[in-house]
Amino acid sequence: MNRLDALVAALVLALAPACALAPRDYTAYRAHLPRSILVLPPLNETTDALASASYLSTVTEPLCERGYYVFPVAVVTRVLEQHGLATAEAMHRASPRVLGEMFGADAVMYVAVEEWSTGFLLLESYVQVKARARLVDAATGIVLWEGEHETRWQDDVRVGRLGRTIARVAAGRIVNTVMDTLHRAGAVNAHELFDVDGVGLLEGPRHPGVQGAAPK
Amino acid sequence: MAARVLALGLLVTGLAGCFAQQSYYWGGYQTLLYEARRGPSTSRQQQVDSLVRDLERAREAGCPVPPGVHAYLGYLQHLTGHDDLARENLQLEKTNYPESSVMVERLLAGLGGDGDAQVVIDALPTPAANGGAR
Repeated sequence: MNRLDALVAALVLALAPACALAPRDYTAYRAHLPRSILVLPPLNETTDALASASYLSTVTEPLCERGYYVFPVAVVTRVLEQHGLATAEAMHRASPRVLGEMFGADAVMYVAVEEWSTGFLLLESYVQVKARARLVDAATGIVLWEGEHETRWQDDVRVGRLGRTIARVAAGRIVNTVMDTLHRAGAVNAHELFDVDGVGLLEGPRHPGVQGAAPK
Repeated sequence: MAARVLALGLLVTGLAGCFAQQSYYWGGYQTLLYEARRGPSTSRQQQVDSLVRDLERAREAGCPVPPGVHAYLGYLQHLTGHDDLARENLQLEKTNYPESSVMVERLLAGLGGDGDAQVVIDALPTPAANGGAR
């Protein structure tokens, strides 16, 4: 399974538009445009224990490219654990204001991974990642933005590289390849969730297109 | 065939994208983040070396280092017993990204603790069980 095939698959097949949980009203968001975002470990609503860690490791890039400062997620996770918040659930229950004050963050990003799977449907193999996220202003608790997105790659098991890979995995081999494929699908999902004009996040203060953007 | 050419073009553009768009140099940072939680196949020192190499490449390419990379490197250097280098990289994070000032100052204050990962942020009220996500 090579990177090129995965990229081709993503380009050709994964073009579903992102869906919003609520109508896109960016008024509050513009009024509280954050410079910095604190991303918490995602809630894991899937049966794959690695989904949350995998997804978390891919969100920094789209958020930064969108124009925000993103706190180092590994350090944030560790510090919160040291403060007695042992699970993602506990971290999500904590007050955004206190979290914001701990790190000097303007906003907190709450993510949940809803689907994270590979499988078969007749002669098609598929990879499926679904996640939702909500951006909250730390000082006020106001929800600035919410989004949800599903990424689905499909391939014919008889012909396609992706399909044959999934087929071999179903036979119990090459577990790492599946993890890698899901990880890549998660990364694409994170980009499609956050970094798409019109439904994703607003361009942040560091985005080159924003007037008076801070120099990178 | 056309799709492959397009994809290949995008791949090349992606690699060159940092130069063209003055976007960030990502290197292996996100891969290291995943490994950190999945259970790394490399040692901390190897992770440090990998990040240091990425910083070199970013410098050579004239591309900015993304948010968090210097801070994470500093944190790893603290864990591998090099607090002097840790301080250096934390300061660089703060210089490059003033948004990180509060976090960096608190991490710097926490350096010097002994044992594993005693990077403590100043005592704050324990986050209360209100607000947050759905």
